[in-house]
Formats: sequence, C-alpha cells, structure tokens
Amino acid sequence: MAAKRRKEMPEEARSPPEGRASPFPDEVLEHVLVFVKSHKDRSAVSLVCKEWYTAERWSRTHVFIGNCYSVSPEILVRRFPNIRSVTLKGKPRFSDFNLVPPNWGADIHPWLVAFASAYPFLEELRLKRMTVTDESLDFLAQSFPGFKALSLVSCDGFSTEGLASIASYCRNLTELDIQENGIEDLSGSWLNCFPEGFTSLEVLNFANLGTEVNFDALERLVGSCKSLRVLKLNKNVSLEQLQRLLVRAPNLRELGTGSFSQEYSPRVYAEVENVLDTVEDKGLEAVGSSCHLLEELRVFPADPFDQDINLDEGISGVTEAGFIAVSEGCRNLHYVLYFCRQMTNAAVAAVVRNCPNFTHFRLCIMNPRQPDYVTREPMDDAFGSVVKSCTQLQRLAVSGLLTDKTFEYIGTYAKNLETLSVAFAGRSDRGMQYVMEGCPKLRKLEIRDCPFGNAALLSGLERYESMRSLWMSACNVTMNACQLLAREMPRLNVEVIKEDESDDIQAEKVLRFLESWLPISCQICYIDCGF
Amino acid sequence: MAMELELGLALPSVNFPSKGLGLDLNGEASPMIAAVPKKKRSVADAFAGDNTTDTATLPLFVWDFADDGNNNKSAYSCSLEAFCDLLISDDDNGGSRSTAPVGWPPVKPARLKAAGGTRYVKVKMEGVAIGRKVDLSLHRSYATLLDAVDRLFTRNHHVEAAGDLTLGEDGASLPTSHFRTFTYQDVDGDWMLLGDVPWETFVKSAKRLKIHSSKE
Repeated sequence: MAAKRRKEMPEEARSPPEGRASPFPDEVLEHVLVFVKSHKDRSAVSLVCKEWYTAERWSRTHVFIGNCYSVSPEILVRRFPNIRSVTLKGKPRFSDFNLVPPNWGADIHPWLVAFASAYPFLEELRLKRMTVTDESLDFLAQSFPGFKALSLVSCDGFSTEGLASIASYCRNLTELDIQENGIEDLSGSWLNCFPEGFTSLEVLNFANLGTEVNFDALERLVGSCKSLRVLKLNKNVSLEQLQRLLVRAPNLRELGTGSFSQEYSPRVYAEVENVLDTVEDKGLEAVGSSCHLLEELRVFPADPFDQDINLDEGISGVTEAGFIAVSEGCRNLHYVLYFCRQMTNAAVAAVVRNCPNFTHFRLCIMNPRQPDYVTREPMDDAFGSVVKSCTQLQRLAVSGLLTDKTFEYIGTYAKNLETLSVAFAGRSDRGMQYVMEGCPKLRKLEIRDCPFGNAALLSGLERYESMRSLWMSACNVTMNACQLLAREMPRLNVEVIKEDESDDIQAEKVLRFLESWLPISCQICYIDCGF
Repeated sequence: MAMELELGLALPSVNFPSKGLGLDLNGEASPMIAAVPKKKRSVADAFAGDNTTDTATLPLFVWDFADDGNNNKSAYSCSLEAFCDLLISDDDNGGSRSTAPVGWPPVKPARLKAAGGTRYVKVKMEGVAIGRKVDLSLHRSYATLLDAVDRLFTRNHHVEAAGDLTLGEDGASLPTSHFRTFTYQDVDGDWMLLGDVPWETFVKSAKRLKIHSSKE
C-alpha cells in the first residue's frame, strides 16, 4: 500500500540527490522510520527538514491526539495517509468528577466519518473521555472490515446495544476493552452477539459493566478464542464459573474480576496494587513487609464523604503511618495515589527519603485545606520535600492547606513536571506564576477553587502553546482576561463555561464575547493548547 | 527569569506585548498584600456578586475553622463556591454525612459504585441562591427523596412547605404539589419530570435536580 502511494508523491521526492538533505533515497528513510514508534520522536523527526517531514507522514501508522480539539479530522487525514491505529482523548480530566457540563463535546462521530473515507483499513481505536453513541459504534463496526481493537476508557453516551454491534460485525476483533465508562447498562446479551466461528479475541475486559452476561455464551467464546490472554470479568461471575473458564483458556496471562479486594491478602510478586482504604494502616504495613517489588500503589477511599469522624474511635481509612510503612518496605515505588484524612509534613518527607524515584505522586488529603494535623502548619514542606527528592517527577497532585510556598518549591525544583493538579490551595497569583515560570515541561495544569486570577492566567501566555491544556474553575479569572488571552494567542482554543441566569451551564467560545465588554466572573476557563 | 512584581492596575510589562491595550484588569495589586488578610469580608460583600464593575473578583478571606490550639485561627482565601460550601450546614440527609464540594474528593463515580458509595447530585430551587446536595444512594424511592429535598429547603431558606407531595398508586407517576415541580437532568442533558422512570433508572441517570415554583 505504501509503495503504491509513493508514485503519487509530489515532485520533491524525485528531486536530484545533490542539494537534498539526506544522502539516501526516501524509500530507505521510510523503511527506517517504521521503527520509530513514539509519537514524540516522530514529531521530532518531522521537524528535521521537508524530506523527513514527508517520509514521516507517509510512514506513520499510529497517531496519538491528546486533545481532540487541537486538530480537525480533515487536517489529520490530509497529513497522514496510512494510519491504522488512532488514540484520541477528549474531555478535560475534571469531567470525571462532574465538573464539565453534559453535551460539552468530544464527539467521536465526525472522526469516524473522516476515517471511514480516508482509512478504510483502520484497525485500532483507543478513546478516552470521548462521547460515543450507539450509532457511532454501529457505524464503526460496519465501516472497517479489518477492525481489530477497541478500547473505551471513561467514555459516555453509549449503551450495551453499541457493544452488541461491535460483537456482531467485527469479525477480526482481537481486543475489546471497556473501562469505567458512564454507559447505560441495559443487559448482558451483547456478549451473545459474537458469531459462530469467531476465534480472534485476545483481550476482553468488561469488568466495569454491571449486568450479568450469559455464562454459556461466555464459556463458548473463551473456548473458541484460543489466543485469549487477558480476561477481565464483572463481579457477576462466580468462583465456580471462573474455574470452568480457566480450564478452557490455556493462554490466559491476566485474569481479573471487577471488584476491589476488601480483604487484604498478601501478594508477594505484585507490582501494581489497588486497594480500598479499608485495609487501613495495618494492611499497608503488610504490603510493606511482603511486596518488596511493588512499583505502583493506589489507595482509594471506601467512604469518601463521611467526615463525621468520632475521634475516640480513631480515624477510619489510612493515615500517614501506613504511607511510611509502605515506603519502608517498597523501595521500588514510583507511582502512588493516596487518599487519606490526615497527613504530616514529616511523614511525606520520610516517604520520599525512602522512595526517591517517584515519577507520579498524587496525595489527596480529603478534607480541603487541612493542615499538618500534628503541627497545624501548612503542608508546603511536604510537597517541597517531594519535588526536591524526586527529580524525575512527572505528575504531581497536591492537597491540604497550602500557601504560595508550595508553588515556589514546585517552580524551583520540579523541572521534569508534566502534569499538575491543584485544588483549594495557594494564597495569590504568585502561586500559579511560580509554576508557569519554573516548569518548562509542563503540559497539563488543572486548577480548581484557588485564588489565582487574571495576572496568574496571563503570566502563562507564552507557555500555553507548548502545553496540552489548562483548566481553571472556581478561581478569580474574569471574562476580560479570557478575551485578552483569546485575542493575543489566536491558536489557543479558549473556552469559558458559565452558568447564565437560567442556571444552565453552557460552554461558549470566548470569541463570541468579544462584542461584549462587560466583565463576567468566569466559572470555568478551559484552554486547549494543542498537541 | 524572575517576573517583576508590579504594584498597579495594569498587567506586568515584562515580555508582554500588548501593554497598550487599555484593558484594565485589576488583578491582584500585589501578591504580598494579598497574602496577608486585612479584613474579613462580610457575608453581604461575599454575596454581592457585583459583576458590573471592571474588576476581578477579589478572593474571599475565610477563617480557618481549625485553630492551632492557642485560639489562633488562620485566614486564607477561597472561591465563592467553596465559601458557600462552608456555609452549608452538615445535617443534610439525616445528619450523618457532611457535604463535600462538587467533584470532591476526586474519585470517579465508577469507583464509588464499586465501593458501594454515594451518589451526590446538586439540587437547586428556583429563586434560591444557594444550591444544596442530596445523596440519592440514601433513598429507596421518590417519596423519601422528595421529602428530604423539601425539608432541606424549607428548613434552611424559610421557603413555604410544598404541601402534599402525591405520587400515583404505583409509586412511579408524576409527583405533583401545589407549589413545586420537580425536574432532573439526565445523562443526555435532557430535563425530565421526576417520577417518569423507575427509581433505579432514575438513580443511575440523574445528574442534577431542579425545583420550580409553579402552581399546579
């Protein structure tokens, strides 16, 4: 296919060797570039010179679009003619927590229409936080005969009917991965739609679906798909049924059920651990003493909204003690997500002394603006110690009572930081300014309920084009600043979501407000910054 | 490169190309001043919501409710929404749970369902400035939900009681009252009348509630 298209290439490819940038023909370059997989590397390749740009665009088979509004489907298909695999991300992450109004956008359908005409041989589609309807899934299933892999994470807008279409029409399906979507779970009968003689499935994940699937159909499916290696079922499958499936799946490498383990059970070789905080500190001590290879730990709150704690009975969930215990035993930890009700600066400092290799450090002290519960001081020094010790830190989420000092630490030390989440923190614009000035690799910044205003927003003017997105909600930004930003940086997509008098939240492009000079206090300001 | 801190109403001029735009943004006059609370804003100021002047909304200063043991309370600024959340009393829904800001803590609803958790939705009553939140997972039927919602607003906003909230014999028909119409917004963004769908379907699809004052 690629060879055929070469003859249609413009003159530039057939120009004489002297005066060209590369000493060998483009065919060689394209064959070499096939081995360059990372999209960041490919972007770098495309910037070298015109010949390399051209070779790169013809040889690219997978495209990653971190923000679906950064480029249109038309521009995408025009640049890359040979795409087989697309990864698309849509809504801002805070949409997971109901901060983005419904019908905001990120609809997959226009993309599918463009792909159906430009990429009839499309094989893979991986979507995150996109709106996908049953009609779109049906269209997808019937438009791409070679379609192999569908992954939907945190998407919404479809139901199990859409899954039935996929099962019915995608004869070569190898992967169906449905995770944490806000979908309508009508029935489990979609699983019955895989036809007789269907054998290609390798990955099946429907752990988050609630309705029961027909077990006989599942058993038949597992039996005929000999290459099945990943199977994640929902909680309606019993242990006995699980046994029957395992017997039929010799190549299975990963098996999961949809429920969290409420009872702690030591898993010596676990590398990734997701637990509920009902395991409490003693559960984490056990993890620390037995899971020395642990690399990632996520501790979720079982009861996030219960703040009515009787102190005589002790605090529920996990505390700083559990955090320290895990860090003492699991020196390979590089990813942590930790929800807790109390924390101290000293504990966090101890944790990062034990584990200086964190690349992802997300600490959520669940009561907003809560100080160090021992010293009653802000938690600034905690995050100061994180950014000083963990030089490879890419992702950080902060919480607790924080002054601008935290952000001064971040701006000074977190030179590899790419993603920062901030809530209920800071004292003034300086906080956000420290970050915008000091973190050269920052790509995603999400801020809610902080006293950062127009000066802070505009301090990042020259940074936004190299970022993917900025979210600010319940801050002190006004419409004037958004208008100014949109005017000064026309390549940015600046969007203001506000509640008007009728209490409907609407998302409106800021440019439409240029006629009106009335400053309106913005509820939410979302800036799409590009690739 | 340190940014010059300018005390004044215009934007900092370092590297800023559009100084002469004539747009007064009146951001924080000085971060150092802003960090030290001068005075506590009155509730009236906080709710003035005066958006007709050409100024940034200034942060509200709220006393930290937890003192350091020596009766020294610290002040910090917060947004209007967070301030409202602090005002909301914590005996909603029978008193066992405090309210949390919307979308906080940041746990995905799918995980909450897995943990058997809560199902908070915003409730707004027409004509009442402050919205409330109600946990749908605490209720088993429309009857208890309507009762709880009614009590929320009646008690706290001196709103007239809604009178009889009637449901049909099968419990699933339209709730009516002499004073209120209850609607909810579903996952598709459509506004529906409460009671049209079975309770379980409603709990899964409702995103927010709204109460209209209309004579039946």
